[in-house]
Amino acid sequence: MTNPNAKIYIVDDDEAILDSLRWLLESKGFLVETYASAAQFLTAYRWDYPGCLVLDVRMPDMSGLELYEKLTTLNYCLPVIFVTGHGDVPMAVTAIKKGAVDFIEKPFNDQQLVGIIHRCLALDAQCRNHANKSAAIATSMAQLTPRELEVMSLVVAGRHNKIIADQLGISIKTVEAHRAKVMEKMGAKSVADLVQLALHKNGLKPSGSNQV
Amino acid sequence: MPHPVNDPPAVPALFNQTWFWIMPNLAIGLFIFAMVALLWVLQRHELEQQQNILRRDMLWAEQTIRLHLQVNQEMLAGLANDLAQLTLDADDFQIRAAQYMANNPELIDIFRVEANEVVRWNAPFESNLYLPGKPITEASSLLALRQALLTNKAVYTTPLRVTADDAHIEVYVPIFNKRKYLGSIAAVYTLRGILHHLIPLWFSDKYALQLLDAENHRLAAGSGQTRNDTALSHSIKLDPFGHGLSLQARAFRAESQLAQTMLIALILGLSAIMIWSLAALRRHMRRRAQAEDTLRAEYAIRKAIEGSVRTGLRAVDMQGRIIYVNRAFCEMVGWSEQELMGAVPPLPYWLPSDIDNIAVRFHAMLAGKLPAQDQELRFQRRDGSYIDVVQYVAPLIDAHNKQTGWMASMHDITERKRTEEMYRQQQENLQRTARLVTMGEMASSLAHEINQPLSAIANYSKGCVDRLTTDTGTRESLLNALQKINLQADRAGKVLRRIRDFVRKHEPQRHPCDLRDIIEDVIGFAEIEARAQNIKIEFKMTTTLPPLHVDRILIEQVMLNLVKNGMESMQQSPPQRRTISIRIKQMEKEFIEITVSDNGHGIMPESLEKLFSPFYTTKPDGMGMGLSICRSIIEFHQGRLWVQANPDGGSQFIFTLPMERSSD
Repeated sequence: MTNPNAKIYIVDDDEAILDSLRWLLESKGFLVETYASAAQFLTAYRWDYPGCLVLDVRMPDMSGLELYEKLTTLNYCLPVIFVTGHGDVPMAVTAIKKGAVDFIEKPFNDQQLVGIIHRCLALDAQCRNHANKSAAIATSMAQLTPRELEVMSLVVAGRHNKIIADQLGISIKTVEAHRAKVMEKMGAKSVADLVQLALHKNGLKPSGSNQV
Repeated sequence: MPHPVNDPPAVPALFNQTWFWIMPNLAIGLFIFAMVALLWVLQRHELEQQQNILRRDMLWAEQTIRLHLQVNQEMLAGLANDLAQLTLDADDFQIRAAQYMANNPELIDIFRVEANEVVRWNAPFESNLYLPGKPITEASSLLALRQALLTNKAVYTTPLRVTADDAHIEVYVPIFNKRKYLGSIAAVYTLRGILHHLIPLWFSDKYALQLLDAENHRLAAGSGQTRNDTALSHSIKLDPFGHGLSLQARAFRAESQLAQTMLIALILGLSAIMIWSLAALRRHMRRRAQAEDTLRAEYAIRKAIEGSVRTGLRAVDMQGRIIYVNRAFCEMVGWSEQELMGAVPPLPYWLPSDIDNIAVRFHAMLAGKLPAQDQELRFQRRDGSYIDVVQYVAPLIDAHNKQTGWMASMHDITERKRTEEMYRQQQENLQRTARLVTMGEMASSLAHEINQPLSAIANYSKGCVDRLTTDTGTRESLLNALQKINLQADRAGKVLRRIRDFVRKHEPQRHPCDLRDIIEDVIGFAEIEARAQNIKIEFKMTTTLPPLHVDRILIEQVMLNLVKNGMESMQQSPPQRRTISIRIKQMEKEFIEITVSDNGHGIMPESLEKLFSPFYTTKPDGMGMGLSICRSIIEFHQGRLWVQANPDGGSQFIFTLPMERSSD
């Protein structure tokens, strides 16, 4: 399920850590990219690069937490693993509360790290999948007329045609015509399908939840 | 030196009582009265005596006059007898009369009157009182002439005034021959003559004599009438003349009277002096009483002051015996006044454990060898607790300007000392705490710093293990990784050494140190934090300095503190301005000046003063000990630490350290 192109992005100001992590993760067969600062990473990374980010919490200029917040506002999928040193645990907990995937304390157990990385890559793939789906739904919905959108929202809300007709001040026949159009444009075979599509659009965020 | 009793000295109430003055007044009054009475008695006695003498003398004078008059009368009777016998002719008459008058000058005229009351003969010739052939016309003369005829006796006329100062008296003696009246023989007395010739000289020296008529009018006066200072007088009738004629004598003041007057004057004078001296004494006493009143009022005020002050007062005499203590002192040491008064060294409140030292100081005080400044002493109270006092000593000088002892005032500084001691202990504790806190912070940073190489080592080694197990690593790559492990292990070791250096506990120990090493070490510490905050630490040292004689760890602590403060102050500064610069300057070969500048928010002018005081902080979680400790450390090294504004913004902390004089 993981994308073979997925890379492990490492951001740490300590060169030794950077280099040694690369050495470790490469030995586990991961593709690794290293950056000495958050700024370097931001210039190099594009949103559609799959993978996960191993981020040092404490860094000069832009700290790991700041970078994470930035990524969140940009709505990137990229899951983040925080690396903390001694005394930085509260910072990491804050990060987790804000939705980061996990944190790992230095010096770390390589098995644990690898496990987390795998989980993150899976999450990344799922996220990207969802994102693609959402994009498709959004494209479909963009084709609906305003009236059709109205009708769709009422259908999804579970109203009968008659009530929809009354509420919109149109005939039942017209409602039925709109409804058929909506089903067609959205590619839904049933009302249940339509509801699912609508829920996907509204309920799923690209960065996803931390439960996998 | 006032008497150290609580009550003011008892003053006799007599001073204010009038009756106290009655005794001397009465005594003096009685004395004067007695003296005057004595004088008066003496005077009277004297007067009486004089009076007696005067009376006797007067009697004698009257006798003399009477005698003379009788003699004269007998002479006239003789003449009359001779005339009656017709044995006396005119010539004989003239001779006998003239002779007689020459011997008795009080008689100025003798004449014979015929029975027909006509003057027949007159002697002396030259007298023109009664011319022969002329009848007697004067009424008193006629009266006397006729009485003589009737009585056949000599009869005196009343005095006939001739001048203001003289009068005449005539005496008529009848001449009978066998019952046949043949006329009279008469003589004229001049009263003046009587006084001048019948009274001897000594008499008139003693008395002023005059003859008075019945109406006490003066008829004639003796010599010495000009003197008026007569005191006594006495008069006596001159019977032979009759007609109320009297002789009066006034005694001249005697010589003894002068002495008496002087005596009186002396007594009066002495009495006056006594009264005056009594008055003066009284005035003096009154002034004294007033002075005593004032003194007592002042004494009361002083007593009140002594009672109210919190300063303990204690006076000792030159032998060290306590001669005075006030209430505050008694309260201080817990011994009562009765117990302390008269106490001799060692005094009851001396600290038994320190008694020798206190005794030495006490005797130095008695000898006046105590230094002028105030002394801090510790005493033991009666209940065994301690009291710290600060003592000021001043010599006690009496009214004769002679030193009688020493007065010491003592303030209770126990509370202050306790506070100081507590403060000192707190300060020590805080310094220790601050050091621990700093250490804790450093340790946290250092733990992070150790974590880095350890993590790197773990990563490298696990990478190696993976490669070796899967046989994927090249020999070079593995070797490279192992070298990197080595490098990281070294890095960790350095960090650990630094921690050990920092934590090692020791007393300030000054050794020659290279300032560059110290500062580089500090920068090594601080850089971890500085990197995290994107702060640049600049250090420029242009010259080489001789080693400084300092405690390396302490100076490092100061530097670290200043650098950390600088870093904290720059948290809000733009990243490109976050620079701490450390500069070293050598000042005049005596000391060096180290400046730590930041570009932070600077220090508010109102905080500048308080900045170095303990517990002052501008940080929300600061303890306010850092700079206080830094200053103590620098001052321990005979340097100075201060702060000033950085001309480029922010602040500059500057401290100096003296250079060791290597030449000597």
